[in-house]
Amino acid sequence: MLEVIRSVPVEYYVYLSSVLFSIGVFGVLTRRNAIVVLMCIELMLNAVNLLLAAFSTYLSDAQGQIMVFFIMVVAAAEAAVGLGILVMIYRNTKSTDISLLDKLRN
Amino acid sequence: MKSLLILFIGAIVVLFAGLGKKKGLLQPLALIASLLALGASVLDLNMGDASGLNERYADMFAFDQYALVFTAVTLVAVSLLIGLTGWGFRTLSDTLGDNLGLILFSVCGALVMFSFQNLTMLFLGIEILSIPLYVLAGSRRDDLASNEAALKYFLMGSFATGILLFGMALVYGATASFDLTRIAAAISDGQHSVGMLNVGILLILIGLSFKISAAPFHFWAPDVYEGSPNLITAFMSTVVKTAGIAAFYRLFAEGFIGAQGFWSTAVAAISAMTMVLANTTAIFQNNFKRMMAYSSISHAGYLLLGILSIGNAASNGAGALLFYTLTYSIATICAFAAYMVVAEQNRDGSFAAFNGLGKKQPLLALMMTIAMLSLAGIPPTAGFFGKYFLFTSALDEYPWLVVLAVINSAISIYYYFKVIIAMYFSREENDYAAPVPAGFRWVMLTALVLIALLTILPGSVYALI
Repeated sequence: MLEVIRSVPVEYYVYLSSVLFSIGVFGVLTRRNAIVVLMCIELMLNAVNLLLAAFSTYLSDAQGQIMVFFIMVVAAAEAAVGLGILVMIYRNTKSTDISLLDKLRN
Repeated sequence: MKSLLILFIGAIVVLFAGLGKKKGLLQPLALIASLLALGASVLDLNMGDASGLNERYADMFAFDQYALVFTAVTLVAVSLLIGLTGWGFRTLSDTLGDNLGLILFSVCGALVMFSFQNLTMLFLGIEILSIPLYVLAGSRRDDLASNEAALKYFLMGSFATGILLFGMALVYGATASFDLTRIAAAISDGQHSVGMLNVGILLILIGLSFKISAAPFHFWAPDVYEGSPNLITAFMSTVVKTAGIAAFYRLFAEGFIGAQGFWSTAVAAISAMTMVLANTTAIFQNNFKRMMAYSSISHAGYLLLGILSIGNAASNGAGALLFYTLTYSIATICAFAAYMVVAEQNRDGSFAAFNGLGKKQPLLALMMTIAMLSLAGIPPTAGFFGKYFLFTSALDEYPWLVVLAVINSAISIYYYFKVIIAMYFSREENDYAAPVPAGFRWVMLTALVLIALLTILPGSVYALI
């Protein structure tokens, strides 16, 4: 099984996760809907998880996979808090558009 | 470790005590937890932990002298801040237990960031520090400015975490470990992919710059600082900054020291850009909280000079950072405490809110003056010694940057003095009828004594590490 996985060079995983990560960064910087921005942040974190799992396999070292679990737990906690903040804002503005939130001077 | 355990237990107790009817007990409980943790860390200074608790936890933590002194600095700031919560959180009486509990949980994260030996712990420490703060920034639920601050802080914080994690993954791929000593060993062996390591270090540097709000990753800070409740803004600009810069120093001094030739240029560039951008923007601010936000960004630029002294055996960069963060935290808390009393009656938040404070409330005005002088680094205040230690630590290798830092501190005098001029020399005078709350008077007195002590004995704190 390990040989099958390793038949793909590790660089390809680095390229794939870099592309996924860049899509996430691009989405965070351009999208105006707070929920879509939240999804893009999750995409960034999952690109990291993919990269860590790939490195872990190629280095035959378990630390990377354990780190993946930590990231998943923290991402869940972050999503809970983030959606809580969004609900609070939706109650006040009836919208999830972040471009409406410009009351503080830029 | 004792401090961490005390704080964690204290946070849980405060959280559950918040469910009960006796709201008056919450602030003393939180203060006791914070002071006990402070006592535990001070007692362990210079001799390690006699109970054996200070062993390494599977190489994840090291509660060494460095961690202990920064723990003590943070807990001094937190104790002062909790002293302000009685009056500062009076409108939040239904969620008081949650807010105090979240503050203590957040400090637990800061303690983890001081003592980490493994990138996993650094990541967890940053998240334990940040996630409660996202909630605290939005703790005034009906106030749209507070909502906006919470969302901006949350989005920028998670974005920075993503960047930081991608950097950690690349460093792991290059060095095959998350452990700081093994990373350092792998870098000095030379058996690693240099490109991957350098990109990883650069991404970690960007992620941490977001956290300490260094330019060009500082754009979120003014909005978040302005929108958050005053106490939480004070917390962000003291505890979070101390934790960020201390973790920064530990990571780069213990883990990435072998790649210094690569990252020191980037850190010097970020430091120069932060100082210049923040100080030139702060001049044009009319709002006190935004001015303090830019001031806090500029102090991040000065603090990065301490990172640049890594590897120079003749200078004590860690000691300089310690002294600077302590004086900066106390002065900032003083300034925010005085502002909270003033803002109660003059809500627009501009410098005009301070008009005539010198005549009506002389003690309050004196505190504010000392805080501003200390932040500007005017001798003989403690802030002057902080700047002196920090600038001399980087003088050998980066003389041009130190010259730039001195010019920038001179610029900063201008906007700090705007407040002092409004207090003492303004023709118009506001009405300050309400007396200063009792808790505030105690906090200000303690802060005054601490600043005086630091002014008299700067060397004894500096030499702790």
